[in-house]
Amino acid sequence: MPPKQRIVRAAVAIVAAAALMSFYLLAVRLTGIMPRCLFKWATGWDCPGCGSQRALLALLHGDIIRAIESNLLIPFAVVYLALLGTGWLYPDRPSMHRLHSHITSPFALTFIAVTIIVWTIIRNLIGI
Amino acid sequence: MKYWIIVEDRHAGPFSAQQLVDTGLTPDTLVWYEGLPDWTRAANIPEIMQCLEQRSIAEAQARQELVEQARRDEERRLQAEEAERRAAMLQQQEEEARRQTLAVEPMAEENRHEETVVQPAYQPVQQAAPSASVAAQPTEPCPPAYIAWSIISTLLCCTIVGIPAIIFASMTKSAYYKGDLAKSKRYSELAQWFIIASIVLGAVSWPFQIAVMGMFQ
Repeated sequence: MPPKQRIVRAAVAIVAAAALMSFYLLAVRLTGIMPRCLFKWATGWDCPGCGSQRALLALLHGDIIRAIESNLLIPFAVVYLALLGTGWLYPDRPSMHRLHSHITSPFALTFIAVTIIVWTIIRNLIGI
Repeated sequence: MKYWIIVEDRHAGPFSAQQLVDTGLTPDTLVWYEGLPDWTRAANIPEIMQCLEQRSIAEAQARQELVEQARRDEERRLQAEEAERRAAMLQQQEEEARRQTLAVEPMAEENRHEETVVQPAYQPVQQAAPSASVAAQPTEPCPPAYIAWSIISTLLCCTIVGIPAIIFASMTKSAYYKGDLAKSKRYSELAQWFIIASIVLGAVSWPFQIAVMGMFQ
């Protein structure tokens, strides 16, 4: 990877970390006006992302149970995105490259899409 | 069976097992074929390993052949040298006999005889170069699938529009692995548009909701 690209990617990673940090620091005070879901507002149903902000905040506080209660997918999504990000930051390492091609294979992506859709239906049926 | 491989971070294919072996594939090369859930090491695919084995046997035979050939060449060379030496000796003997009978012989005659070059009787056999290997042509890299973006936009922007983005991201990859670059590019663009739509909707919904909530409170 060219050094310039490496710097850009490292910068993006730092900005993402800073965004999470500011979310952690600010969200406590802004709880009242966290953006609501347009889909839920229009239809009354939960979308796949409903509860994601509460879940993320709970995760940042280390409260995995509450995160899962708010949105079951968020802890998994965070792990997946972290893996994806690591592979993206170190594409030159063979082990990272292999990991990246495994988690972005058509099979893995289809699995993710199906999981999200099925889970969205189930959460609306049983109300989680 | 058609196989795709990852060579230097790029996908190449489709190849037959034989072509794969000709590209210089190793048991560690990542290989995929339609129906396989994921990339796997070539060592896990029996057909490829069989071809690889056959090739290494053929190579060993070719090497053996080369050694044999070299040995035969050497033998022939030695024989030719021997013959040459014998011929030279005979010539010398004749010369001497002639000199003895004639008693006087011009020096130039002798020189001319010594300079006679005996052409070696053999021609080194040109070794056929090992079968030209078909270089794997790394194709274009996969169009961006925007996987991270599609997941972030689905789960964090809180819009249902992110789901098609994930589906198109998946289709981008599978179309690419199947070698359909044009389709893959189209899906990549579609994924991109859905992500943009998702982010815009997410961004718009915040002030919109504040306004709506403000109205009804």
